[in-house]
Amino acid sequence: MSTDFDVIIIGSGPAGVSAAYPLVQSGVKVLMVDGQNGITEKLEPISKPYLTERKSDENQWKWILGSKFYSIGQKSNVSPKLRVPAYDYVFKDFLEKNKINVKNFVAIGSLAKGGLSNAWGCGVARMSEKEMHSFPFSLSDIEKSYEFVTRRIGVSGSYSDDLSDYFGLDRWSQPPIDMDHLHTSLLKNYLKQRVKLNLSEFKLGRSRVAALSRKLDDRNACDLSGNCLWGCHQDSLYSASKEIDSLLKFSNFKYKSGFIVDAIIKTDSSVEINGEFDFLQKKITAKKIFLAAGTLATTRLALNALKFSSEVQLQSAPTAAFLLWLPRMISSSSSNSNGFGLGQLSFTCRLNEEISAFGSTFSTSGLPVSEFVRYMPFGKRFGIDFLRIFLNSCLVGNVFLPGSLSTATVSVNKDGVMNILGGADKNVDSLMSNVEKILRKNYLKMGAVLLPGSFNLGSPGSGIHYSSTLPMRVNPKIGETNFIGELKGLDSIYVVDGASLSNLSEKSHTLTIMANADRIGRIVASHFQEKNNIAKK
Amino acid sequence: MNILVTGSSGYLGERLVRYILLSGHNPVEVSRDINDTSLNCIHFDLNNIKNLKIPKNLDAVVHLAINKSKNIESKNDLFAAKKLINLSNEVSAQFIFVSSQTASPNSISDYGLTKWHIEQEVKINNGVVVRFGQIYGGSKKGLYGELVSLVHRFPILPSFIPNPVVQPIHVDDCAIGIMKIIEQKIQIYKMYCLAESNLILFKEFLNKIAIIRLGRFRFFIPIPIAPVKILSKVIGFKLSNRLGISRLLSLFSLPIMETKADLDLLDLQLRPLSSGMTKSGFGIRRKLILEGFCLLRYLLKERPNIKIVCRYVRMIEKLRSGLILNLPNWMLFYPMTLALLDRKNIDRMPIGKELAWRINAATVIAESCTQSYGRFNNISKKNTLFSITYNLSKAILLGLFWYACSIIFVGFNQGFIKKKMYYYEH
Repeated sequence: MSTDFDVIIIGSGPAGVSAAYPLVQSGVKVLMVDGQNGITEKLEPISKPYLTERKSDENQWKWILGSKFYSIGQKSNVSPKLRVPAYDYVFKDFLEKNKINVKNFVAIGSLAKGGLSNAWGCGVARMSEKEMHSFPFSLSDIEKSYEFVTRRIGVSGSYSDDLSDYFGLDRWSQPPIDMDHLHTSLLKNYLKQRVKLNLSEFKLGRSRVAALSRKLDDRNACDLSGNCLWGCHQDSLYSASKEIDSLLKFSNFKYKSGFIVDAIIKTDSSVEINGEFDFLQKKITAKKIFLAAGTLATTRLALNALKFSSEVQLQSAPTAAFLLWLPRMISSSSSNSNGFGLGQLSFTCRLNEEISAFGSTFSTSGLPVSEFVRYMPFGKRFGIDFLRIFLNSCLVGNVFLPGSLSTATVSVNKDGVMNILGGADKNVDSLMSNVEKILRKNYLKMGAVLLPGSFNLGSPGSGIHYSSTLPMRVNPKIGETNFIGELKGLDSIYVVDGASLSNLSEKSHTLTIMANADRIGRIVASHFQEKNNIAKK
Repeated sequence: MNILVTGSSGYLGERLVRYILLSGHNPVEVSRDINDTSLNCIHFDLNNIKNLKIPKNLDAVVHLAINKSKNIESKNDLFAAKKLINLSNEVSAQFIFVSSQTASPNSISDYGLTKWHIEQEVKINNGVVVRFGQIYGGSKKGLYGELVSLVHRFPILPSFIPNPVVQPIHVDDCAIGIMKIIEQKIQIYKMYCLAESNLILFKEFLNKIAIIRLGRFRFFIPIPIAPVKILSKVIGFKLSNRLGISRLLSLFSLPIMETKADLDLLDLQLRPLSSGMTKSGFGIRRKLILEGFCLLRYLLKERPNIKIVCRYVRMIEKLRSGLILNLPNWMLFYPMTLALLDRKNIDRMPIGKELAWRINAATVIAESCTQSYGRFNNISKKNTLFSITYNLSKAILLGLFWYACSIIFVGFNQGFIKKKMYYYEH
């Protein structure tokens, strides 16, 4: 039976485009769909450096507040990114359209073209042999995909330091983006004190990020304008939405925006997706379907297709944030300058044999002071007085723990609605307080003070690192997937995003999702080629 | 319903027609100022009543029209009213006559006397009479318009001794009241007295016009009434009528109306004078502007740009349904004192919780404008260790000082803890 397409990819985020490349390049007929509304209003990114715009742009309230006060309406959200009006379109309607109910969990997802990569922190890393222990394939099987994806998206931070092996990407990356004076001083102190530090417990190095320090294709290098939070006018930060255009150059690639998939139906010879498109119910058939709608949306589609009603585990990395003060920099003359707004230095903290923490530190200069003022114990008037000077010698940091410490579960009811119930392992609190102790001790040796009371745990899910609801296993059961992400019990349906990762470590997992999608894409593409070859013979 | 309104282009008529339309009914306008020949408009002059023809399918006739020209005999008014009552009886529509607080058989002004005579006609014919107090608000028309321009023109105003009192009612509340009366559809004669039941000093009324409506400060000098009365007697009835003195004197001898029963009967809630006096007639915006001004000034330490104050108001209207925070007036006048309620753990007070939300929101608004660049960023070029240590310690010490004040203040003001978060206004 002939089908409309060979493969339908649901989702246009990092996983979707990474799976699409190998398929499209080998001539497979691919359709990609995503849920972005056709009439989405997008704000143009600002073009001058952040502080210049702050000083002189009369319309700055439109991109800081949003013309409908989006920023204030989203006040309860954890991350400042979720309050930026320019990203409204990224997160909008995700839970409602995907019929997801949430309890005690921060569930973030995207229907937009390019998915969450439109507003991500750009953290990238490669899994180690040990971290891949529970995966049904070895590091060497995915090595090529790591390289291919890293070169394609452009990663900077290649630098011989204590975290080179931890990130494992230096061979394929660009040199690092310049650090600000605070981070420079911090790293200098680290190198000076390195002999005295216990390196098996705490290591520091440059952050590896999917942001360009050199021009790549039509994207420009970072110009340190400090607008990472508000939208990069240089396109230095990787976003999957940019890749749709280059995919569209292939005639065997089609892209449909605004198609929200309601159901996946498997028949004997094909699979079809049902959904709403242009206010009409539509049905499209294909030989295979790739689920890349993001862990949460993918899980719901897969569990519904399987008619699987039991609970499944959702891994989600516990997270915390802190404020770091560099007293020696308090009167530095070069304060108040623009700079790179994403991770500049990263660290790892070994807590025990099994568990490590990972985090990065960021400059405060591209962030509104009001983000910090609300945490001050006394009057905001004096809070502003204090922070306007004090923040210039501060860095903000984040910490992630492995996703296996989450006890969140998801289940789908008979109406097809997915319920997420959040929760964290009882050890998370003590592990995090351990992290705090280790960080405080080590940073102090480097002349930096982790401010008391500033180390705050995020609520479950607020790290927005979700995975492993449909994990790849050597011998998958129903509700799991095989080594190429194919759903047990429903062949021809492949899970290529975070949902199929076998395990979630503390590291940033986006690059691994992309590499895994690329790997699956390659294997499925070779299956198509084999079939074609047989047919020709 | 089809409702005929005479004097529809007058002060109250204009607002009444608008309100009839807003409540989904059909007004038929009758006025001498109408040149529009469309269906719902009838051109007609009180002095030429014989030619008036009215539609057959009317539900009510509201008679507001009066003769403006002072020279014409007020008998025309009475004649016209009689004719109108007959016409509305013919089409069996309810007749509502809008009278005045001055209506009385002993009235010293022509105006009050005529109104009283018409009232008697209405009584015989089972119509309804509405006596309004001092109508104010909205556009500068009628007696209210004259008072506004008077206050506008003169920097010094009279404060009469003994001070007369007025019972104000907002022009839109009058319109609402008339509609409520029509909806009651009573068949027999009834008189409604509608106005503020609390008496307001005339001087206070003028002062509200000055401060709220015009945004100006006015001095008042005491003037005894007795000489004015004598003057009016000396120059005679006709001349004093022409000079408007008799109108002024009728103000001094206004009978006090018992309005509470009628207001309750109609379930009519009058807006407070301070909100009715604003241009919009609501006063919410004004209160929100004061609130925004206070919060932003507290944060910025300087007068906030009016643009960001307006932004604050729109934000409250969008995200907080435009509810006004119940802050005491002294706090609004001295923004610094907000520090008494701005600290951690103030959440147990309802007002503290909402205030914290609003201060946080105001901080974001304050930070997203060019005015605040220097306030939120350290732009000073000379950053010595001393100056920085000084500024930081100052901020902390002041912060702690006000924190302590806040604890004491809240401790001694248990009433504050139970205070309602918002207050509502119509």
